[in-house]
Amino acid sequence: MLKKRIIPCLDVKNGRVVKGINFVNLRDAGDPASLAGTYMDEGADELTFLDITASNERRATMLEWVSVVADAISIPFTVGGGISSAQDAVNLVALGADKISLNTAAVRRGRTVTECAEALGSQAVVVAVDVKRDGDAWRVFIEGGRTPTGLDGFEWCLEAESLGAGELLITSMDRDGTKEGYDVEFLRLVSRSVKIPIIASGGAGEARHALEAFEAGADAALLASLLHFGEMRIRDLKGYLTENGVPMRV
Amino acid sequence: MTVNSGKQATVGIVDFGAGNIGNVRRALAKLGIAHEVLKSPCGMERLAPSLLLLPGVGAFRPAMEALASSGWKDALTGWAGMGGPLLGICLGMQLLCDNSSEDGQTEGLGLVEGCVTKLSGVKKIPHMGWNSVEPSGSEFPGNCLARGGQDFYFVHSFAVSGSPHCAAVTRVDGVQFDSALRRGNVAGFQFHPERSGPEGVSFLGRAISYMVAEYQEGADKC
Repeated sequence: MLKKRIIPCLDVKNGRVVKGINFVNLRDAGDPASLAGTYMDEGADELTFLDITASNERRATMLEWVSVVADAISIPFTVGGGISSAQDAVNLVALGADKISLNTAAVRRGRTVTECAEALGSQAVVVAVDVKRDGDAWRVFIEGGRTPTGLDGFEWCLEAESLGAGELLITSMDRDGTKEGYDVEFLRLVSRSVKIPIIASGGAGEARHALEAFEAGADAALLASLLHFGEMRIRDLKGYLTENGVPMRV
Repeated sequence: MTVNSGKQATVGIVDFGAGNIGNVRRALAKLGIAHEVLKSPCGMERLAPSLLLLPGVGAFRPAMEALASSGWKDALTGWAGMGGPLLGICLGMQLLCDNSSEDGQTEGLGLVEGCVTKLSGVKKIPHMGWNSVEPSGSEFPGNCLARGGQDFYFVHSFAVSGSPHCAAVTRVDGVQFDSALRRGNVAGFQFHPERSGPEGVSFLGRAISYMVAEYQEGADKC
């Protein structure tokens, strides 16, 4: 049986992990490779890295840390942040990333998704969709949530799939950082309508929230601060999910 | 062609220009298994590998075209024909089969009986993530899987099912496919042991050692 996935997400700036990581027994809390190795040992099923370095310096620093992370771990990882062309994507995969994630570039030029899928196969192309609730609908935001696009979130998810996305990473901007739980309504809506895996992101505050996301049809749950601050251990989360009937790799 | 008959395994990684070989290299490096990337079959004489590893990501048809144009198609069938150990991973496993229906019917290497078809009846494509691999029959290389199965990382949209050379099976949404194939010295995994954590990497090491040892024992008896 296919297992549901738990994916820690790490923000990287200038080659260092940022947003307070608070682990015991970690020699260097800012080193992407050490953290990646720690999460792998803790039972993470995959990892996602988001590079938030200013664009003029990003390319150079990315080349360094991505290959170091690839040397350190033997589970799949996704890299996102400022990827704007199929060539960028191919370069990152050549360094050892398993998948790349597109966000702003996918909205600005949908063909980029298709070109990445043609170059690498759909399985390597994640489209990240940041949505904010607007009445009965959800609207898409880009550029790290700063820029509204007016696009309908649900329609954009369907279009991303048809453009060649192999997976959708859906972040609720309303829930992000609130610890009130994932936006299960949107997850349910999208999961019923697409045939590609979806990753729930934004809002996890306790184990029950991951259970809700999986019940809503998510294939994976992305977690950041909850894990980084040591408030929850992957082992305990997986134990809870297993007890509640969610297939997990333990 | 020469097969390395020394006790130390040397793996030749077949690089036919399709697919990411970096993480396979990294896994072999972690295992301390000597290896070299072979961009063309010409490198085989010099390396004298004890096993050829055929990785692969992407679509079946362009991969077969690349194997043919690079000379690897003939080299691999020749190698397997003289008993050389050959291990395919993911698309590399599928390429070992008779044919695939991806992008129309395309002939494979024909080293293992089986047809590659689109996974049907499953909710989400690609089949992506960790799933259980359960040995089927006694053909699994090295018999090195835990009984009752072990989880490995999969990412694929096409699969083989019902091959007479099926060595392990995996189920998704009630659909069963062949997650490992083995026909004597030729074997393949649909999953990625090199992306399945430290346990997956160790498993890859055991499978390679087993296949090499079995070949060398066979050679000794001759």
